[in-house]
Amino acid sequence: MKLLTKTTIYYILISLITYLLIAGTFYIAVKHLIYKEVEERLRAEQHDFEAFVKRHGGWDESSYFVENKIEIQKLSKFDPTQAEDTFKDTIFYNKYTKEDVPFRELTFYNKLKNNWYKISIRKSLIETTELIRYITLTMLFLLNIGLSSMFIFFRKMSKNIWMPFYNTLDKAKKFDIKDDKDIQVSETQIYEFNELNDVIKKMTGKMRKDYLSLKEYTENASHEIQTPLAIINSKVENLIQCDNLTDKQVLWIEDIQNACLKISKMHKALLLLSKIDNGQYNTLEQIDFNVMIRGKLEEFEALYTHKNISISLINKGTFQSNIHGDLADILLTNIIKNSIVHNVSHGAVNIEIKNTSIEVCNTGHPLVTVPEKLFERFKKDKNSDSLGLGLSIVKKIADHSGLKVEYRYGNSLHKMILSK
Amino acid sequence: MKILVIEDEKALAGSITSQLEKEGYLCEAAYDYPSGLEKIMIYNYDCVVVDINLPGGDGFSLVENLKKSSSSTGIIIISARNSLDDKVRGLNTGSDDYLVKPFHFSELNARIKSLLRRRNFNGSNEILFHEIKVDLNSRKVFVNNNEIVLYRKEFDLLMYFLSNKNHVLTKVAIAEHLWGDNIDSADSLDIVYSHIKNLRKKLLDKGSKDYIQSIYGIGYKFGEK
Repeated sequence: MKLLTKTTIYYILISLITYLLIAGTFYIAVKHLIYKEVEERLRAEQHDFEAFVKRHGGWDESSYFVENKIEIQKLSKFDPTQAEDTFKDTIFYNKYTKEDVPFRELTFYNKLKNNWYKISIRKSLIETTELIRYITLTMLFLLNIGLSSMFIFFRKMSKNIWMPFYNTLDKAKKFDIKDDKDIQVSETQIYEFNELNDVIKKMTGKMRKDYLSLKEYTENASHEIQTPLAIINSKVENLIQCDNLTDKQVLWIEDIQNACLKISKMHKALLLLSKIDNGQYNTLEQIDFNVMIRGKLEEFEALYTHKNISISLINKGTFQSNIHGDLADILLTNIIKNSIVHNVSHGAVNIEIKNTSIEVCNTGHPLVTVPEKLFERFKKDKNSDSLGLGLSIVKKIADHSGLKVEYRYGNSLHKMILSK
Repeated sequence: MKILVIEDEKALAGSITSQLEKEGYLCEAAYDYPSGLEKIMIYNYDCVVVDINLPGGDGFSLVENLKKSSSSTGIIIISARNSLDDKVRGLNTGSDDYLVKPFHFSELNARIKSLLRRRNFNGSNEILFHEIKVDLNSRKVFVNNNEIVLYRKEFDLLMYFLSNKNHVLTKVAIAEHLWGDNIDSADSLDIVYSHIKNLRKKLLDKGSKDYIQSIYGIGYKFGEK
């Protein structure tokens, strides 16, 4: 949920509650005011009535001809101590307008010619309810206008205030560690956003610095290690060219050369892994894996014909993916090489390409480890001559390129599945 | 044939020059950018082997300078940098070949030979070694003027031998020359063996002498015994 939506929802909820509370309070206040007014007038009429009775010693109904205005009831038995004036709401039917009409009624007791009477005088509330209704409606209308304009103003203001935040967010999204320049965020008037910008600037600056130094390190390490290796190699070759070496010396030389070669290859492989991590292979292109696999099989022809391995390639579809060209090449090389190198002589490799997956299935020695472990670095068969980095490179490239890779073993068949 | 090796690691430069001299080239070495540039400006070389990371300057700009002053000189970059970008840049600036360290000397030698052959195209485009004749244009091989049919890898193998006559070639160097870095398993050495067996048999069948000697434990040597 967007920040603005969230604050808007809160705003609407709170303003709705406030709105209802204000409306309710207002209604009660107005009603109270009106009742007070009506009751005061009823009191005045009560006094008029009592004064009339005192002066004339009786009551003349004719002066109150209006319907339901006054009602006098003779009480047979009455306790004057309990005589209390009471107000109450009541409804009477108006025979002219043919509707129920609300009234406020004052009941009091009066002694008239030795008899106690219960007197109820009433005043119609019809104009006052109208009044309340009009006042309330007007008030609601005005409140509505006020709240909506507040709401519109608030949204506009929020948008403006948060603008620098969204700008920064946008910049951060577009930030590429491989760009030559640091992230550019503009100064704002808001303290918090300036702080945020500063933090982002510092963080990305540090990231870039780390990235560059790591990149520099890998480049230097590559150079600094490969060069002495090249020297060792060239000196060993010089040695090899010597005549009259003893068999023992020849074996030593061979061991040195093999070890040297192994370091160089391992170094290259580790360098590749860290380069992928560093994001130095982020340019993508559409690669047709079918074509690439055919090429790879030609490349490895010597190896599999030598081992008498039969290869079958079944194209059930075309597997295409957006991936760095070099990485795709390394990925397929490693997968196919793996299936040939870890095979048995007179074995078989079956490659099946579908639209969304490539399955490379090969015969081989029984698997001793858990398949998932094979993707870890330096995991390999005890008797294997390989570095144990091939499959971890496969895994790294797959993860990096948004592909899935899986190793399965069953029925003495090894299966590598590369899927989208 | 004059070759200049510009490489800051003296040990490496030394072993390259000493081996090139054994091949019969006139060889000089420079160990940094300014002396390399000076030599390039003053003398003419048939081939320059140059490292990219040099004290005092960048090997790429040496290549550019060389290209401007003497375009007929063959240039081979040797570098520890093996990224595609560097290779593309190296070849774009005008070098003829790019070799990643560490390399086998025999590989460098083969590439220098092939470069020089390409440079001096006006001469004969054939390689003669006793009764063996190789026509480089048509990639045909003759023994006593009888053509023998070689597969591509067998032809490459023979060329590799001819470029490194009387030079011990390790099995690994042969495997890497023929199949590149990708084939690095123990199996590849057996394949080398079977390819050599086939090549030797084809040459012997047409009456060639056996020039391929196997050197115990290490590899092979091509040449007269």
